[in-house]
Amino acid sequence: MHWRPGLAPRPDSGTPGRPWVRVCDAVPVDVDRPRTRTWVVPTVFAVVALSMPVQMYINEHVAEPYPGLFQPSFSDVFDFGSGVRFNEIVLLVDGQAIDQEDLLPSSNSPERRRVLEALFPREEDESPPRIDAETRETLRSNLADSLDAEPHVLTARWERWRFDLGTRQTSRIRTLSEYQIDLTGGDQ
Amino acid sequence: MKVIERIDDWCRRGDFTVEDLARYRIIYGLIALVTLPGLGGIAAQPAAQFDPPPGPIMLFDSIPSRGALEALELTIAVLIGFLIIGFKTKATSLLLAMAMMTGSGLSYSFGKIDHPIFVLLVPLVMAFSGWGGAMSVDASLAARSGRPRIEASQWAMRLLAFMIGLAFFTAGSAKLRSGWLDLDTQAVRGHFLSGFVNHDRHQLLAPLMLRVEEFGFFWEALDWFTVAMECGLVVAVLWWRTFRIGIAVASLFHFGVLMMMNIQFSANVIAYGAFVRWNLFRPTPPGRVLPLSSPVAVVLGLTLGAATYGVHNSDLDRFLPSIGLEVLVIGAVFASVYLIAQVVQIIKATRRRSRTPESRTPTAA
Repeated sequence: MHWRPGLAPRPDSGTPGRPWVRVCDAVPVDVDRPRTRTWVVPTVFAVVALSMPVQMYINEHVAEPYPGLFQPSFSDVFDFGSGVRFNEIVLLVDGQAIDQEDLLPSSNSPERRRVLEALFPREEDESPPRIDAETRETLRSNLADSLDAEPHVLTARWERWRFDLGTRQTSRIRTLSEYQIDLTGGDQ
Repeated sequence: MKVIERIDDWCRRGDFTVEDLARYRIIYGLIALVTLPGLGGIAAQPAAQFDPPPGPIMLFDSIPSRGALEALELTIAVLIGFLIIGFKTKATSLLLAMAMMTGSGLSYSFGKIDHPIFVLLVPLVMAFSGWGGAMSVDASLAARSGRPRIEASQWAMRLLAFMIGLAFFTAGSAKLRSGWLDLDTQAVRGHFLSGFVNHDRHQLLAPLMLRVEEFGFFWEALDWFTVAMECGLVVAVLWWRTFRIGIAVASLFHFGVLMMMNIQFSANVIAYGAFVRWNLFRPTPPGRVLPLSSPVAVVLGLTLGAATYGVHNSDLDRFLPSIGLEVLVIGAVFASVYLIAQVVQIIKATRRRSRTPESRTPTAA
């Protein structure tokens, strides 16, 4: 095997080739075939295929595993009829409306919504909000950083809305629940 | 030929060259550098919400410290740097896949799992593809030490394709079971309306889609198309041509989802890029290398990674492009050209076949 400058013009032209390009004239070989037996690669494929029922079982009976071979299923089939009902959370700090990003800056949108739903249940008769001292401090710290001011009271209010497909108008139906969190350490 | 030999032969069949894969390695690395995920913010999540999904992330019993998360992010950046220059490519690819999966897994430990899994599978599987065999420091070191040149390993590409097909099948089968094909319900319409109303997805073609929301046939056709595509890809894996047609259709599907539902899911399209014959665009002679010594390669990889990490974690990050939209558009253009080329080929082949019997027919004297 020997090496020569690659992409260079004819040797008699006197023009140098690119210094970082070289061409190897060694005989190409398959990277694995000479070393692996016939059954190895099919076995890898079989293991991957057989792992699917296991992954799907865990997904259905426990939770979606990670990492796992899944794509977004969007399996819900909504039947909206003439209008779309939806829930919206309104966040206020000391009476001023804030964005969800101010409270949970490092989450993406769906993740933020799920955390908000866990912290502040939509219906008041569900389990009470899980705001322990550590979570309260995290929320206070996030708000102080985002708003550049010391927050005192966080209000979270879930509202039920409806979008009418005929008129394309949105209307508020009712308030589902409302929570007030004293960020200075008092009761909720 | 035994069955196992036929399967082995099928796994190893393919037309990828090491130059195709090396070019994709560089493209993938550059995209990964630009889109480096910020992990330090995970430490700011409420600790009570930390609930890892089933899998190796369960080994973490609490959110790691901010310092550890930032170290993980820096490690990912450095590994991407090594990947781009092709230094210790196999080990780098495997470590990169593990580091990225750890970072993603931690960020999904608060209830919501996103699904850009294909881009994480790419380094995991392509570690065995020989994508470090050209335009790399590895190729240079191998040549200097007299080792033979590495060629593309086709089975790794087939495995990646197979995994993509299986992952799509999980989504398609879930839709089948939940009644997407029921003629009385239009699932795509429901998801479109949910996004439009709940998540303010009003951009691009969304207002136009709202105007046709009562056209049941249109939405039902989309339901059937989606299920057919997601369930069919795993069958398409049997032949490279059908698989490439399948991912071309999938690229257009992702573009359509962007236009209609304003959901920017570009990660899959980046992974589909692995199956493009990149070297056909501007063929290069085999054996291109990056002739650096190991110490220089280490310094270069570290510098590239550290600089990227620095940019992402400073005010300079506002200059980084958000490439999701561009990836989807480029993917749709590539897919359209490829599909048109396939249609032209089929038409030409049909014409050729229809002419052949005539030419054989003896002309009347």
